[in-house]
Amino acid sequence: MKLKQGMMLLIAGGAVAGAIALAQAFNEPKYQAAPKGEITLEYWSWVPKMEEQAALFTKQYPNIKVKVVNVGAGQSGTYPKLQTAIKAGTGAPDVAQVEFGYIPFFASTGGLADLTKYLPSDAKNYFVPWTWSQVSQGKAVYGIPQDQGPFAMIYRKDIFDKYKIAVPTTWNEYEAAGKKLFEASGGKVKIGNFFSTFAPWFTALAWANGAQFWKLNTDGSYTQTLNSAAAKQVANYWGRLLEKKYVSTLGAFSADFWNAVSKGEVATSMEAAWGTGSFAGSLEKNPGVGAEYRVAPLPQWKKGGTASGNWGGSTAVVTTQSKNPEAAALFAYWLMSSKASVVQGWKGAGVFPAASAGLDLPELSDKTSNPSKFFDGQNVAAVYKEAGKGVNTRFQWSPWAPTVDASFQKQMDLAVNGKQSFADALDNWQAETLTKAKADGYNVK
Amino acid sequence: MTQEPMTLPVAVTRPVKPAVKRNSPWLAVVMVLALMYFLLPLYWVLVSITKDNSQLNTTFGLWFAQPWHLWENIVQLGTQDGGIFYRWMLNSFFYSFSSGALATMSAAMAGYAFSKFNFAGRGWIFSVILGTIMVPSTALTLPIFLLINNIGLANTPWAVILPQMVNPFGLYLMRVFWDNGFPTELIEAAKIDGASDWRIFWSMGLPLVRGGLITVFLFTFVAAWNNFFLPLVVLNNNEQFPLTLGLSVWNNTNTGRTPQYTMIILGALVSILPLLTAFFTLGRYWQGGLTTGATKG
Repeated sequence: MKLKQGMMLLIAGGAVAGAIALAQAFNEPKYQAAPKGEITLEYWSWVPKMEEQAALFTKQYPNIKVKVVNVGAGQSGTYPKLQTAIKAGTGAPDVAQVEFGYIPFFASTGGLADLTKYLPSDAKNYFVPWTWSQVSQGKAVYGIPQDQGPFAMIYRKDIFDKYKIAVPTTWNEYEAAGKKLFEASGGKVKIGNFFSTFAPWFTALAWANGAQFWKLNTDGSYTQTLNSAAAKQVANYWGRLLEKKYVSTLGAFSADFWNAVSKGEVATSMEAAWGTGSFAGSLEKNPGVGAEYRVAPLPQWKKGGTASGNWGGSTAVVTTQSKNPEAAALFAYWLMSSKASVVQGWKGAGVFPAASAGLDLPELSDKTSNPSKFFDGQNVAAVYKEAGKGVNTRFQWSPWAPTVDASFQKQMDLAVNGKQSFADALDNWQAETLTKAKADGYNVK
Repeated sequence: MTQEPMTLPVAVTRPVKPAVKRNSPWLAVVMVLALMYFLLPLYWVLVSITKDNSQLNTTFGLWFAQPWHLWENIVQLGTQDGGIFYRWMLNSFFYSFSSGALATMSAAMAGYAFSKFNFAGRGWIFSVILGTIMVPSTALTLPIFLLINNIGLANTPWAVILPQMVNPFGLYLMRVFWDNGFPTELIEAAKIDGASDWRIFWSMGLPLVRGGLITVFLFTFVAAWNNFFLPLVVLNNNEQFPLTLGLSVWNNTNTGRTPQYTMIILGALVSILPLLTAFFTLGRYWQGGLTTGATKG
């Protein structure tokens, strides 16, 4: 007996040790040789504490120093500055942070270097597949994926428990749950919220349903399809839930929205991986009475499916103005795929990695710190890791993709107020943005 | 009511007291409503700086919440990123003060030349300069960026100060002040007494157009203080940023961690304090400047 118990303990202990070893084995790439000589790179990034992360690179490659400049996020800083420098032909940094959706735009300016000749041929194997296809155009590679925002569902477990509703796994179940909640609470509790003012939110849900908004043809022209059957299915679905008053239309990130969530008036929200951090940061000290937040996979159109979409995520691009493109490419690659750097990115700024190995880091599920702490210790990173695997790799952006948001808001606003159907809203969105893209001189069919 | 003579210098006009005493209650109601409309955002700011993020999101926006986090926000504002906020504030002061002082001097001298000297092409050169007021500053950013880059001044304080030290509107304003505030007879008298042009300009003229100088300085100072795009494009070092740029960087740096918005709101409030002070202490020059163009020309 005693011996057997001891054996069991040993086996169990061995299994635990094995599991730990497995979790800690970080599949780091074999990096290309670093160029010689004293080199200083300039890097524009809005990731907090990026200086510390870049310093890790210099520790590894002492002859390459990195000067980090934070000129502010995307359109409110880095992009106009980068655009000006590219247009002027001078003043661009060696490396810059650019979001996935803006890669085609900056690639079309001719300001981004093709990294294929600087990177080892197996580089793509170290990143979540869909993120790599986002930085590729044909054979060219215009950036190294940094982070991602695959979609899952944040929900209030306490509300589902109270009304004895199972957590929905399909959109049908989601609608049924919405109906049950609506009836049981007298209309007070909505199953979710439709973010009618955020095109990227809708895009992620359509993406999860297989919609492909843009396509780069072999002749260099683009095809835009914002109103495909898949996209309309998503729009009509939310339109119906809205009409039946199962969901609300509060502004994303607005005080109204957070208030409704903490008061238990909204039971779920479809959120990107970084949304868990927003929830923790915004509601940590006032989560609501008895609130228990959890994350579940995105509800599916086909039972048993694992599809997801994405909102957000950045890359590091190398500019054609860089005098040291080899060093710049090595830096970008190392920064996004080495263990030390990915860990620092997560600890310093909550960067949810695009590097596959990064998703298994135990640091991501540390229960004593956010976001896991806010979700009562749930391993939320594991849910989002799976979500990332389900993101369709074929989704592409166009150079004018970032400009379609205003038209989306306008058309959705009309639909939400009953002035047109949700299907019409998508048709008008497609027509309006197509006209504008053509007027701006883009080759689009 | 007697009509004031048209030639009275602007700097000494005083508001005329209304002859009829108004005490319409409706007017008062409308004015109070307008006042509330304008002060409400500021009030929201004052309430918000006493909160933390969760309180900002989940408590009533126009009233205070317990416990207070004002001190915490003040401390964090001073320590975030190694206390860089006050560095940005100093930068803003330096850029705005230098731009303001240099713009005032250049406007005063050029305005004097246009007002007091007769030279060939005076009329059309002045028109061309006035015309540049119509060119939006965003259209000039790329050429300015190229110029600055080519002469090697990018990433230095000069890149921010130089483009802002010429102010065509200020030049126009100064010309009006010279025309009306410094009679040409005075110059002739001084010349007879043997004074140099420089001495006439510096010792006699400038004190007489003090109102104009302060107005131009204020306008340029405020424009430089609020400028965002120029420093964004020409500066590549967080240590050199002015407040506008720095606060924007903080406000938009949201990856997986939410920034402390109430601390940033406090920073925004602190950033307008110098402007408020300038406005309240020098307000009368401000008014003078706004109406100068309307009555004299």
